[in-house]
Amino acid sequence: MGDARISGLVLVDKPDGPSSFAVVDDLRRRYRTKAGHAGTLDPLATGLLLVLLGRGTRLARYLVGLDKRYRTEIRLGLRTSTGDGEGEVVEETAIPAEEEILALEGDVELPIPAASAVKIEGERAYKLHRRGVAVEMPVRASTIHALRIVRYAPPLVELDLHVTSGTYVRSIADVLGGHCRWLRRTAVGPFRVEDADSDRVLPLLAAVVHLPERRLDEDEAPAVRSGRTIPGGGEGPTALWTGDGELVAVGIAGEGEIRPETVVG
Amino acid sequence: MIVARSPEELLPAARAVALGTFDGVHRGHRAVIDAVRATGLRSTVLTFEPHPRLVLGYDVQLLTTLDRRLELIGEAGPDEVLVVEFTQELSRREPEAFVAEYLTGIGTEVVVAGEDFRFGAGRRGDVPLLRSLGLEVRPVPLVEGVSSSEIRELVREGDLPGAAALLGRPFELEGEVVYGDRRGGTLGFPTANLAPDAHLLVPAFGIYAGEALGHRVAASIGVNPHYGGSERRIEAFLLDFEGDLYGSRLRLELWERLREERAFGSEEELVAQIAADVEAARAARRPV
Repeated sequence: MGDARISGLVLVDKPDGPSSFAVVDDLRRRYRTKAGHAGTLDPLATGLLLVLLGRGTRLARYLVGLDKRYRTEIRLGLRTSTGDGEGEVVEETAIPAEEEILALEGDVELPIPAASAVKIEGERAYKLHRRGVAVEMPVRASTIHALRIVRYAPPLVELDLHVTSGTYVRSIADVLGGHCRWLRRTAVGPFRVEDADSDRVLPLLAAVVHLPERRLDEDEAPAVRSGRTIPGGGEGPTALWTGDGELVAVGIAGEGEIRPETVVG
Repeated sequence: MIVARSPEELLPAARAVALGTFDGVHRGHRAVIDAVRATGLRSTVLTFEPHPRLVLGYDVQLLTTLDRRLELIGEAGPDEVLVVEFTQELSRREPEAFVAEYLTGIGTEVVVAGEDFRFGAGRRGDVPLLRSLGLEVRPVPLVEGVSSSEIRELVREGDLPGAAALLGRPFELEGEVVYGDRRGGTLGFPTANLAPDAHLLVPAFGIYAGEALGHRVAASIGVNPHYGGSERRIEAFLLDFEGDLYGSRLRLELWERLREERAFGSEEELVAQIAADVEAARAARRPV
């Protein structure tokens, strides 16, 4: 309310080249409103980027932490300093068999790539990396929910991956003794790249399709807008919406009530 | 729960879908909806209206109206329901075209369907075809002996506790209260004369115990043989109820069949029997 500019979610299929920021900036100018993405994508990666517009930017917190799906082609046998084709070859390795690649499915600890945005002692890892500072990169626990070999043609392998948030595909390439040739994000949680259309601004409700929902009646909607708690079941973030499909807020459910956390409508 | 009338009304998302007519939303249907919800994907029920058998020219007596069906599906808790208008054209659609528009076209990744599920022209669409089109098909959890046709059979026989056990709730009859013979009032038992909605299943003739609007009900379904009637009437006497129901909609839960309908030697005998029926209705217990 009080903001007549457009609000919503745009599913973008980012091309190879521009940074996530550039894509967001483009939409910001085009729709003349606040814009932000929910989960960055490397410049060299293509695929699904979620861009929130206007009041929708407040919903970003509910979109981080979603599982991701990727398609990638890995050049086996050559490890690089970056885990992708940009870095220098640091090691030649034996080419793993299909069974060895498939064995990666499940819980894994993966090193965070040196050329990532993770902060090491207060500084971005990629900046240290660019200056040539060698740092011991921490490992991060990830889960590879599903790993499918689309095509095995050594030294190349194409994989379809379903992973937890924060999993670096470049690290997967690295532990397989190779590097990523290309990377495409095909899904973020419930959002699919097939539905991407940067000309279409989806309603705010579309940004929270993965949350449980609670429909508000005529009295509850104004109560929620003014931050008042309403009765309701469930646990955790819950989309609160009216009969005509308008998202009013995301509330936190627990102990028989729902407390508005982020009011958007 | 969002109710969409066309695929375009759905929000883009990866989905798990249960397809069917879901007439009655019985225990088996609810197990299917639970299976869809358990996938963790956005859960969608795709249901057809009107009932495909009606469109194809067969007679089918339904357990629920569309509104009631949507209400009951909503209680089962899916994220959304897509109501697809069933037409002759749709029944002749090639299965691949149906899948492209209503399944892969809405982001479906998982379909919960029985191994014997068939759809599309010539009933050529089946589970292997769904799999070949890239969909993951998960089997329907088996709920032994529960099917809409079995429930209809029990209702036709007047076995309402049996039907309720499969439905997971009492059988209901729904419709509008219309003007009747106004005979009940003169006997001391004013009744609501229910005109059930089109195509709804009506139980075997007889006297029933049940509930409506929170009141116990003694209901008569039949032709009123005592008065030599020939037209079917559904008359509900609501115990401890005062008020005029003419013109309003009424949902009648029927719990058990108390007796067959019959003619009596005198009006006094009839009234005495009605009084006994009312007491039996008061003592009746709601099944399940």
